[in-house]
Amino acid sequence: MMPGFRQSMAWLHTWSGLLLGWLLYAVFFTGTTAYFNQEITAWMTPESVEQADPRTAAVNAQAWLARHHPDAVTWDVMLPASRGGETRLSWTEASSPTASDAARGSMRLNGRGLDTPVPRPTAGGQFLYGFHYELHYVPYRTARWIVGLSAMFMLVAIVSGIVTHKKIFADFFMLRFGKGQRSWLDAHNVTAVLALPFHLMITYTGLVALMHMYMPWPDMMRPKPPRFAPMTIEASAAPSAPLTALLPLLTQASQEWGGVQAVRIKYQHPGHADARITLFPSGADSIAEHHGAQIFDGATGALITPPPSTSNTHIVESAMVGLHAGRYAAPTLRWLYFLSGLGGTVMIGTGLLLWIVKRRQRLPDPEHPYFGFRIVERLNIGTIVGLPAGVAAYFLANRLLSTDAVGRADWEIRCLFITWTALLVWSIVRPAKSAWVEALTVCALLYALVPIVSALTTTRGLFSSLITRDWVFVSFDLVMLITAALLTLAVRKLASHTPKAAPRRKPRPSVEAAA
Amino acid sequence: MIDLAIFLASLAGFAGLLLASPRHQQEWLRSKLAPRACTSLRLSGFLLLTSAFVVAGRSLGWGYGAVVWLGWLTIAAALVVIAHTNRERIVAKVRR
Amino acid sequence: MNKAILSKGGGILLRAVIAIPGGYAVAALAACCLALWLPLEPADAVATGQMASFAVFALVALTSFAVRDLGRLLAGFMAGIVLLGGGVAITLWANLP
Repeated sequence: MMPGFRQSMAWLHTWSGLLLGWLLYAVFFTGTTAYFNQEITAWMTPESVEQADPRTAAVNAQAWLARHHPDAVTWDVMLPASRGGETRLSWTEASSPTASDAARGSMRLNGRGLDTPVPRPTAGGQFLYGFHYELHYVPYRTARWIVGLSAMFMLVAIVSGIVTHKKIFADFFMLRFGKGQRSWLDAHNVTAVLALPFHLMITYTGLVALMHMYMPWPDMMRPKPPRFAPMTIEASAAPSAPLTALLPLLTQASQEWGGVQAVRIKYQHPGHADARITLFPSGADSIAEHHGAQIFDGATGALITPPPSTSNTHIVESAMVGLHAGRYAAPTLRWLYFLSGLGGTVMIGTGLLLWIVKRRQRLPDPEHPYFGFRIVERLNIGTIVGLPAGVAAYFLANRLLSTDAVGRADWEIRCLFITWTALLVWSIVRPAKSAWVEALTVCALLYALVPIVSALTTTRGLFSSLITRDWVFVSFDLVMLITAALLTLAVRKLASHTPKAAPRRKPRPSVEAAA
Repeated sequence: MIDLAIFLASLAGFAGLLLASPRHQQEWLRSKLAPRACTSLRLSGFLLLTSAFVVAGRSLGWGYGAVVWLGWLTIAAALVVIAHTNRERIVAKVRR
Repeated sequence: MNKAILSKGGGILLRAVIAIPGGYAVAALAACCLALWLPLEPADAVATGQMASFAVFALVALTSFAVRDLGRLLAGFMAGIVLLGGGVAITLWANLP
């Protein structure tokens, strides 16, 4: 027999939150950095000084492909955002019968579509972005399912949290607080309630973004005609013909889309009379996608397929995905997204801590806690501090590894996981409190080192960036320093903190016991 | 500029809501206000939050503005909560 | 309270099964029903079903831990599966060429 509704919801909140809390923490942390993935990539390729320009990049990328891969069957160009980033190319050579063949190639060009100066090999912000839904060292489909499951748990944890703490929610919204000291652990409630719209939105829209994968059954029940004929990868039989000029197409497409720029260009049979150029609209101009792709004749430049009209359902779906990714957000809103994401990360982290704190007071023998308690306690330290430390190591590796080292980009990523694992192991072998203090100290040190090492190894340190008004680099270094400062503050608080000294507010027996 | 206006209106709105509660008045002002003052504080708090939404929607578009409004709302509320948590230090500083 | 739930080991396991795989099954069937029955273009009906399915999943997961009586929970769950599954099956059968 289950006890009352509220208790069962509190129970569900605790356990659904704990079970996948560490993974959710990693997803939220890396996902938050993804709001600045272009900027992170820019910082990690300090050789590329020039401001990104999508239109120039498009023309130069086409020229690069025509020069190096004139016989490829398809070209695919991902343009940089106007706020920065690189141009990513891929192609399929004629010889390959299947798409997964070795005859596919890819190349990174800078924000203007040029291959000089050569940027140092790095996965950049793209790696952190990818990690937030495809993880690493795991096949990407498996990873997406794991992340999807944890998103589902998150949704359940949020709703059960709301149900459990209805009164807290109402009180918080009116900013009516009870008496009694509010410990820093109330950060869980504060970040949960204050950024609730963000948490609900980001979780649900994250699921919607991959819904065709998570919920493929309706697609099978009611098959729909494909919006576009799939690209063939067979070699063209048509005579060769030069490609039409790209800029007029970009201009025409943008006019058709009401000012929206292209973000991706796909070519089929470039250099032949039956060439096709497909332009995809950028999500950087509005929350929802109101337009579809346009297909042009690659030889004559004539519009073959005008953008299909979008249905209301499609607008709703693309608005959800748009809200999640925030590509449309101007700088101020981008920072608000970033802060909300940090709020979510803090909410999950403090939620995991609460599990420990609530149980520590009720331990029969505080010196020798039971096994599960120790596991959660150590995983908390190893993840909450270990992952951020790993990311700092990732940035440091970017500056310290030789630019022509073999497998450099992979080594940057390995540095992240080595640091993370090292801190995890450290937190297991040390007593809990020392482990916290030491891990946090290491983490603070790593973040403080990032701008220093950057200034020593590149010409784009904080001061020179200030002089050249390079705000991306200035902001990046400042965020590193602020993070280091906050971590130092945490270390000092923690070092002077004695657990159990501060009485928690009056326990509410039923819920506390349940949670 | 619009962002600043939205932020300040939200901040003032939440501060009004906070001070509408007699307990918080005791803590911040050392005296309780009349019930009518409480009601008007609460009302003006909600009014400020609503007007922040209208300003955001009218100047930035309703979709984009709504997202910006929620973002600033979160920041403003967080600041008020932080101030409230540290009220003893703040009140002591002001009184000195 | 922890103990109270855990001691009913079978209960908690059954609830978890109804919540997670069961919730997914109900969500998938509900999404299929919407995809088949909504008077929209196929792509739109499918997308609507998919978008709504995650809310259905969350609802089932919460309900499976909220309903006190395990028997009633099981009955409700089976009824949902049969109704939605039957609806999908009949629609597919009626649409057979």
